[in-house]
Amino acid sequence: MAVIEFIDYSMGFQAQDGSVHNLIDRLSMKVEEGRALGIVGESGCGKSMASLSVMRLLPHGAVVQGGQILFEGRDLLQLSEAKIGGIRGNKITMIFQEPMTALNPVLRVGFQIGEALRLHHPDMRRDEVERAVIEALDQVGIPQPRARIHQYPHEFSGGMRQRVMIAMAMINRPALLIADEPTTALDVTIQAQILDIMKQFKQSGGMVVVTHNLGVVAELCEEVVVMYAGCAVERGTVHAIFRHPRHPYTVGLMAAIPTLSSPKTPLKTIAGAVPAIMDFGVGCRFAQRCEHCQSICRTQRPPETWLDEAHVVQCWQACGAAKGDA
Amino acid sequence: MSEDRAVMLQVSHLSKLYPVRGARILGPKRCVHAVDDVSFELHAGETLGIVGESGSGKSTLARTLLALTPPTGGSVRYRGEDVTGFRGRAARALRAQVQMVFQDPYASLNPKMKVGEAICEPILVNRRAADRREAAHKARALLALVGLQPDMFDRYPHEFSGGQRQRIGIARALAVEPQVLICDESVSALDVSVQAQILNLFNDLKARLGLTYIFIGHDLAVVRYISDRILVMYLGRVMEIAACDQLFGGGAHPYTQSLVSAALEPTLDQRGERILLQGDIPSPIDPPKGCRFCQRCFCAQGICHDAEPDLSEREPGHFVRCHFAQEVKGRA
Repeated sequence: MAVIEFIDYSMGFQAQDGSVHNLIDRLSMKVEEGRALGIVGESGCGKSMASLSVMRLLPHGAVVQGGQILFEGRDLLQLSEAKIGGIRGNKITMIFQEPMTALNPVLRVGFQIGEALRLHHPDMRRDEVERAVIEALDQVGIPQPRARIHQYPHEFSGGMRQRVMIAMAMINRPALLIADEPTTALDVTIQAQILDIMKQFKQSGGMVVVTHNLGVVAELCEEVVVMYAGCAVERGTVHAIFRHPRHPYTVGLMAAIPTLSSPKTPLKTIAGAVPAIMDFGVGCRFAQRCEHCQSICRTQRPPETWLDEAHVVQCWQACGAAKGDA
Repeated sequence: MSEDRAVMLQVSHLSKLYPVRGARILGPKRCVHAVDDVSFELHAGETLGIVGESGSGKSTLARTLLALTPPTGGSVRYRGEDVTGFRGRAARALRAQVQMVFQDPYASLNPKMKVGEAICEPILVNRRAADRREAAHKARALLALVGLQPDMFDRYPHEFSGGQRQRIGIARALAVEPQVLICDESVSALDVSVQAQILNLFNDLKARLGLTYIFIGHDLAVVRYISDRILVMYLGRVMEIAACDQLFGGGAHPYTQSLVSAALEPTLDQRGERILLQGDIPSPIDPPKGCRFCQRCFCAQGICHDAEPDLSEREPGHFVRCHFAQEVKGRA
């Protein structure tokens, strides 16, 4: 059963004159238990908005335009503020990019980790909470957790703070963990440590990893959604997307990344930049930068085409090619 | 190898220690060892990559080379002339030869200044143009050189995307016709598709203008792509200097090996066993007594904790700071 499922979810931002500019356009995706879904894309593509929508933490001015986000059979978008409060931080938790700004600098680390327990399990005794916090810190590999719970965030290094964030997110054993750029602020050797810890937690529930780094996806995820300007241009298993990318944007993105074995010839680039939300146009949102762009691409949004049971792409070209193959 | 080429920068035993404030008056004086005894040569026409984790001293090194901060020891020679700790007029003359491209294209441009004026400013300050009109003419040519429209001269920075702003930053650096460009994490803040455009631009400019680069970064794949030689820093020390092929061809310093092994690749191909380093980079205030890397090294032995190894030449042009430089076999 899917832990979380987006069905045709759309959201946008309200301008000063009251009109709404659509950002996320009919996003459909789901996360199965014990699996991780990677949402990749460049800045401004709506990947963070998708994850904040699950938490119902959209910023001021954001408007839900339609669709459903199902969690345990219920639509999160319809729940009352009290009900979502019981889920947020309990059954669905989140790890943010910058651990220093996500932690309160004037509260002890142990207190902050225990907060989620005290809030959602008011019947727990103090010593039970403390034991659970120490155990959580131990699980994320923080040495001497008994002493560490009495320290403040500034006494922790960047990697240790991110471990604290993971401990905090995992302490209620959530059904879904959302990690928004969990390793972007960390050094490579620390990043490897954190990904290792996150992998261990995958078994206990579903995971959504929001990142711009395709390397993180290859390391951690089974499934991936490639977003461009609010559209899920391509989604499927990691195997399908990495081995047989079909959308010109996915292909371009993969070719643009230098690797440790790539030749030193000029890198393939995608001309131009991501359009602003006002300039998305009515057709395919990638049309302006696409080298295969045809007239239909500028006038009509491409439909989702299933290439096989594990691979969906939104592209007129792939759509026509798919018909040709069949 | 590039030994026969002219040496642009000769850095010898360069150190930059920052005293720690608030230490006890009678206690021992403590310092942050930001850059500690760094020596290397930069040859004309090459790209030297500098990699290391945060706190390894990469940016302090760049600032010291540009005389933006005076070193506490050692010397920097530019084309044979000692430029160590230049100040005032002399420093400005040096910076007309050696320029810097910064990391954050949002923070490095004045939001109230039209980009054309921002490019004209260094041209006029360094008297590269007789008057404003000539400067403006040059600025338009520079905009075209970095792949922007010359008529963007009259726009403000907020009208540009991150990639375009970085191009403007590069145009400003090139405005004084420098010989050497120091790029400090110049592509780190950019999206991948834009990062590729800027990397191509750097290579293109190098070929067209005969520039020499120092390219500082933390992404090993990016630094490998753009560099001819790579210098690996850890806690202010040079751990390894080698040509790209030597560094990635196996037999590298254990720290370099773990950096390579920790790099995430966007591929599903099987890779070697990952070397997972324990712990964090130690404080540069009290660096370890022996080898700086000994606490995290996966092949450290007794001697590593007692004595710091020298930077020794393992093969021509390949320097490694490790007691076991000759024995360490690549795990590639």
